[in-house]
Amino acid sequence: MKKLIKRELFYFYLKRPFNFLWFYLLNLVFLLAKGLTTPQQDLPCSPDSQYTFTMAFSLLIPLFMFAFFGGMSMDEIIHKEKIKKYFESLIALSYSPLKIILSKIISLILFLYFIFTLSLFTYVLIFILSGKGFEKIFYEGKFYWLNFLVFSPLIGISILNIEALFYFILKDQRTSSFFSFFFFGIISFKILFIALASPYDFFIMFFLPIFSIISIIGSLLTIFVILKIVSPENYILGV
Amino acid sequence: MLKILIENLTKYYGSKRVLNNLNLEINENDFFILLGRNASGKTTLVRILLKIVKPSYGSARVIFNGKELKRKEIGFILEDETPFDLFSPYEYLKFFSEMYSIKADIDEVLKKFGLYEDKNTKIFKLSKGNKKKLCIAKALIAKPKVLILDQPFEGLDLETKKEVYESLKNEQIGKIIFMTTHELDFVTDYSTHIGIINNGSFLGKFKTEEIKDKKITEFYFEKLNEKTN
Repeated sequence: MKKLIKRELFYFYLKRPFNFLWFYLLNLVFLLAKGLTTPQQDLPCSPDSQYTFTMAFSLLIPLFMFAFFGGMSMDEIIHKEKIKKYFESLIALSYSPLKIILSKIISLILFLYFIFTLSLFTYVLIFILSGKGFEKIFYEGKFYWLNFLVFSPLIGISILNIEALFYFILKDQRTSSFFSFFFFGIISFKILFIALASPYDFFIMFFLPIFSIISIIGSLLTIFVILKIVSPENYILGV
Repeated sequence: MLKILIENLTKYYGSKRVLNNLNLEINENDFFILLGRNASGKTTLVRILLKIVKPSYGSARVIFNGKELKRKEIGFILEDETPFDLFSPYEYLKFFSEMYSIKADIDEVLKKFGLYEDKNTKIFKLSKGNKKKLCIAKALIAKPKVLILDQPFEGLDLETKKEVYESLKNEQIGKIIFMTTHELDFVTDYSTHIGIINNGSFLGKFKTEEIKDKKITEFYFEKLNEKTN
């Protein structure tokens, strides 16, 4: 699978610098918007719902970025490859559909995480250059940043996994795109709704970590089961 | 001993039968060309041989010294296959040599197919003929024992077809070349055997030298008519 991942990274990401630049700038704009709009003081003793919502919303930026950009890339990395018979070639070389889809997902995640980290460094650098100390930049606390860097992207990756599955098994690209955005919309809306309805501490200390782990396991299990049940000739041939 | 062995092969897509009880044996050094019109079952047969789809009944195996040949020892071109647009021919062949886990002299292969000058050109800038040649170079890069080519001449002019046939002919010794096509040019000049398939049924395997005196088109329609009558 290493060879497949290497090819994906080289072909889709290194060979397309505009993808790289576009995602980097988009990330940076969202991060700067977060940095400039979240309250620049310590957490109040009894945070109001407006505060909770703003914090929770900013926590979901990585989720949106991963799921949104993932969804945008699926046509290129899965649908067009299917038309060009790339998957058939790989199956003929004895790669299973599961390995093929996983190599696509892993390389996309590596790319997204790399750009995400790079834009985060730029964000920190901009604030340092403007004279702010670390304590002012990372004032939200360890738990917030743990969620921001790990658990929120994990939920984004889970959505991305399901989007990849839609594009992999559905023959019509428009149907895949509809289901992907529908699924992305439903999950994001639900999480925002829960963020607004629950206490801030519960949201960052319990809900996001537990939900992210359940969702990543659930999405991988779904891919595994669906690809076991459905025969490749039902989704790879005749596109 | 190398051979392709197809036994009682039947394939259904849903309720539609696309291959009907096929039996065929192809041996080492054979250049076998399977003729048939569109939707006659050629591509399905290729997909079964390459294990992209499973047969409904029967089997299709590539056997070497009594054992089934590893899939990475079979070179292939799929119907309408196009190489990756953003790669150069060099990068494309390098990728496939890695997939086959071999160290190939890529420059040498590119020279052999007249693609060396375009070695670093993006594939989307190549002509259709050169893209096809690149696909054939990909199929041959691992020096496979068996070549399975599904309609490799689609859209090629006569000169390029001849060139490609020549390159295949040079590779024939010690191998099996299994090719499908519905284009009859040069078929009798290069093949050793011809097979005809119609509506999923195999109409027979014929030695090319036996039909050389006849025009291939006449022979082809004669066999089709024999079956329908």
